[in-house]
Amino acid sequence: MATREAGKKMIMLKSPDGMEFEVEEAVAMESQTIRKMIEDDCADTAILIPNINSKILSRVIEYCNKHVPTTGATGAAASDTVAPAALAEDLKIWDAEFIKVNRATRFDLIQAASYLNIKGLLDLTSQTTIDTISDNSLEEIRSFLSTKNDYLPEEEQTIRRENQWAFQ
Amino acid sequence: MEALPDDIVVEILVRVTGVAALFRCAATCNRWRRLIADTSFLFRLWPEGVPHSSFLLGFLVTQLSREERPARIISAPAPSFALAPWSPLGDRYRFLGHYIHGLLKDGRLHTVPLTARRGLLLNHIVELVYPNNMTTEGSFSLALCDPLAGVGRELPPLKYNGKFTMVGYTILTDLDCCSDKRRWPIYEVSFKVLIISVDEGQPGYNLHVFMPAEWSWSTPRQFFGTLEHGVHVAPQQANAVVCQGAAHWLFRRTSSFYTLSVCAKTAHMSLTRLPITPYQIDLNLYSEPMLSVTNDGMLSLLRLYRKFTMLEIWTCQGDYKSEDDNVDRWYRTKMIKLKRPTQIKIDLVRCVCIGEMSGKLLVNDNQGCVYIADLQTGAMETVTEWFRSSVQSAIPFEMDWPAYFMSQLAGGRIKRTKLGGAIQKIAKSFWGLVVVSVIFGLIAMRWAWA
Repeated sequence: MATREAGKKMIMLKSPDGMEFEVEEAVAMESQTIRKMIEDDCADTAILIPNINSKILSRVIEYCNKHVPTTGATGAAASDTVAPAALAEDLKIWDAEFIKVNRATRFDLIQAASYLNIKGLLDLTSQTTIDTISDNSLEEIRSFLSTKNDYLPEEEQTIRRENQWAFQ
Repeated sequence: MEALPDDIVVEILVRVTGVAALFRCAATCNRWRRLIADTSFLFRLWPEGVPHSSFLLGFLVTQLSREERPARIISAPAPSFALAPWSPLGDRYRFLGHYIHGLLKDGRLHTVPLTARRGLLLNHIVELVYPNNMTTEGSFSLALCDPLAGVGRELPPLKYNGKFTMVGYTILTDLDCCSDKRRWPIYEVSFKVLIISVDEGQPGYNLHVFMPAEWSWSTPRQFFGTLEHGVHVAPQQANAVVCQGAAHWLFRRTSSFYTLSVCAKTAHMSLTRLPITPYQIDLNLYSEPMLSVTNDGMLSLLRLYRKFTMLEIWTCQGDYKSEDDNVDRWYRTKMIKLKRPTQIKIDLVRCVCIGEMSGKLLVNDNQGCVYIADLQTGAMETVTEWFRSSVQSAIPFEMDWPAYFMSQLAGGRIKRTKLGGAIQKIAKSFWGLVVVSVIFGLIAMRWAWA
């Protein structure tokens, strides 16, 4: 893990709608996509993040700020420090609060987390979505995700009839 | 979620916990079904060659052995299905009676589960007039069930002359015909039932094959093992282990163990002597050996050193097919110390059965306690509360979920879209595995051109 000059180096992130965010390099490097850019020296002054609007980007940065390892100004990678249990618990509560957003925002966050390759955020957002789904019936899943049922009625009937174990 | 690209939906779906929930997701819309019934997705969830506990749905348990059952009992309870704690099946599956009952007519006692593979279960229907399976002439009633679909059907009776004893059975599917580990993609699966029998006083083994397409039993095929010049060996494990494109049964004579193998494709039979000898000095030292399959699909043999709960695993290296003594091919490849649950004293454990796909071993001790041991870690878990009384024998009920998802969700449907809806399913047998498709469009076109 390359430890660059202290944790003070700043990176400018630009959203497509023209907003600029100045973040510490260590925070930006929570994203594996940005980390790669930095390590490959593709990031001079500002990095344009396509597809992610400023509202979502600011939330993503908020997440990274919270999750960046806090110990010292070394800017070390997350895996170098083991957070004490209390800190982990604290983060969990923070995460639960953070993810209390509407569905559209959550989907935007999933997309952003996937593009920026932030594993923690991807886990958090997807898991929250799936937790809502897992215990629900077919109709509830559909209405929650506003997915259209494009099965033919007889097709769906066959699937249900032959797989009753999954629909009990 | 329409707006999310596929790879992101996959990220979400891969986190679904529970097979039933995942199946429901596949039923929400065609796009999700396509994403889920995809080999790369299914292999991400269930990597090939890696045991996964979700494959094990439960055990079919026989709690009293046939000999001990009083002859005058008119009706015995249907076999109970001890569900794994993580099983997606609900309580109504606990007793298989809900669909086996329909099979029982007058004069029949009950069903005994014989073997289960890939979601199909073979039952012996015990007749009132023949309390045991040793009669001079008659027929043998068997039924096949698909507990997940909740259906079952009786097979045509297996007729015989002479003193017939069933010593081995298994269900083989298309997937078992290739010894190759990679068995994808599969959309439709057909199966056959194999029964091994011996006639008292006669040398050799008889192989009976049931083909669902013809809905009949084949003419029995005889096999005389060259090794022991036709001398019978007693069945040790009647429920076959299937690997390397063949079904394998374990037999024993006083001095040796043997495997009888039947090639899934050609029905070629072979008998092989194993290097392990029945331990004669102290029968309590080792639990009876059992055949199993290693993660990479090789035939293996497990033996439990009872006192120290140490599991010995022998593996057959190379090809099983050889009529010679292939004692040299078997090696002791692994020793696993089974770790007893804390603060529990375990006495003289015995292997009951092995879930090959899930890598779980069911063991009980002489106190009547039942445990599930993980073959990777050796960790034992008490599961006595699953069972209502002591376990005499049990067969694991395992499901190959990737294959199941593929056959239920990808199936003929993929082909149908490819051919622009030309394929119409006209017949589907009761367990939903044998699909016959007729291409109406093509026939009509041929007529039109003729």
